[in-house]
Amino acid sequence: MQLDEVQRNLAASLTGRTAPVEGLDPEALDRARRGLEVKRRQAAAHLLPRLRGALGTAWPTRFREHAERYTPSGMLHHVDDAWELAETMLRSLDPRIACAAHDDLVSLRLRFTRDRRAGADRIRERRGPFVALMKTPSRLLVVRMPGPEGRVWYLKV
Amino acid sequence: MADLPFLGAGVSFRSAWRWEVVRHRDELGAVECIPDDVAGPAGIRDLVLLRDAVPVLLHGIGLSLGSAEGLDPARVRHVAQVAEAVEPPWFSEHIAFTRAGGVEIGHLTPLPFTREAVATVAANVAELRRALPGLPLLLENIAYPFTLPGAEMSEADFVRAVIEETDAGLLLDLENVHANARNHGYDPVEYLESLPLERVVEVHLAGGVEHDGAYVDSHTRPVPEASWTLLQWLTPRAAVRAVIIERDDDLPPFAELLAEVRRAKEILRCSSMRSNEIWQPA
Repeated sequence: MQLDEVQRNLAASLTGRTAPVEGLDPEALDRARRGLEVKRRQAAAHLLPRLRGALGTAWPTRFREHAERYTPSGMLHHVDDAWELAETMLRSLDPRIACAAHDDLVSLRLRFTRDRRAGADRIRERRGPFVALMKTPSRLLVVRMPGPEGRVWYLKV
Repeated sequence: MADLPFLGAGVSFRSAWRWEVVRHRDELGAVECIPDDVAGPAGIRDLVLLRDAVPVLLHGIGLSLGSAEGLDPARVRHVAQVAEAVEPPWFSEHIAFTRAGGVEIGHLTPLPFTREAVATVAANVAELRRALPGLPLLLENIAYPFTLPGAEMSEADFVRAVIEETDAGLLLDLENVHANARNHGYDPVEYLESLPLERVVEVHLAGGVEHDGAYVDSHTRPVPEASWTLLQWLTPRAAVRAVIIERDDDLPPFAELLAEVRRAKEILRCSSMRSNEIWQPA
């Protein structure tokens, strides 16, 4: 088997899309796959602290469902991953969870912009202005001024 | 090309430690930053400001130098842009691949120990060098949870072949050696003896955890004694210019990192810096 085929098969297998690659220790591969998911989940937890808290013990299960459905991409793939999960959880029927996802997403959007068509550069630092309402712990109007180092104001409303 | 500078011991940079790094800059030989984490001009400017306080090394994690489908031009451009602004003494990346067939794996993944893989890394490194003219390049050994079938050589011979074929320096991750030795049942010193130690420029140290029946190089714990012992073995045999203590998660108080930096500095005093044994990039 040529190297490009080995790599395609292995990438698909490690991200849970196909059966284990022939000739590999299935136990070791499975361990690596689980390790990758834990790494993704920990990175997402750092970026989505409110959502992580709101989901409580359901967090690992919700993350697994997300991980099976979505493969992040780009240089800041951990940000892309968290962003996608937060957008999905905005649709939660539990208002507490939807609210946490919304506020975490505002935090991400204060720092970054996301363009899914931009390949490796899909997550970039925000340079333009941004206004949003955060809901927890109290209602805050968040205003980011334009520019690469735009100041951010948190105004009680 | 000028000699590679001796920097001493430092830490991998985490933004949570920004002010601690600046405060303790006199105790740090260098901080190592990941260009992939820089999301635009403000991030680059931050690195330049940091560089004005303490030497900054750039350490790539996502170029996927082992990819048979070649390098992603956008990532190469990005690394070149960051390197041009920061002007590090060298740039390092891994002997691994991280994506294939449009799928981002999200972690450094091993290559089969074959001549085809050596040639692939060499071709990609040649392309990278065109984007980073004059910047010395180091390649790092990775921790691998499994071996791929079809190996034509040992892991040490593979690393040696890649280093020689690319004419790169070696970033020797001793925690990866420790992890691989435990997980794949070999003697770490025998492994080190078969590497081109004259090419070692930088060393990484970190701490991992036992998980799921294997030792995982998680960068979440203090450096284990086994890795310190390997550093003690290595320093009289190689001209190590920098030792970086890596910590990615479960970040401890910075004072704990500084204690590890001081210990590395002590060991580095024994480093072989005799000029006739020091490899210089072509």
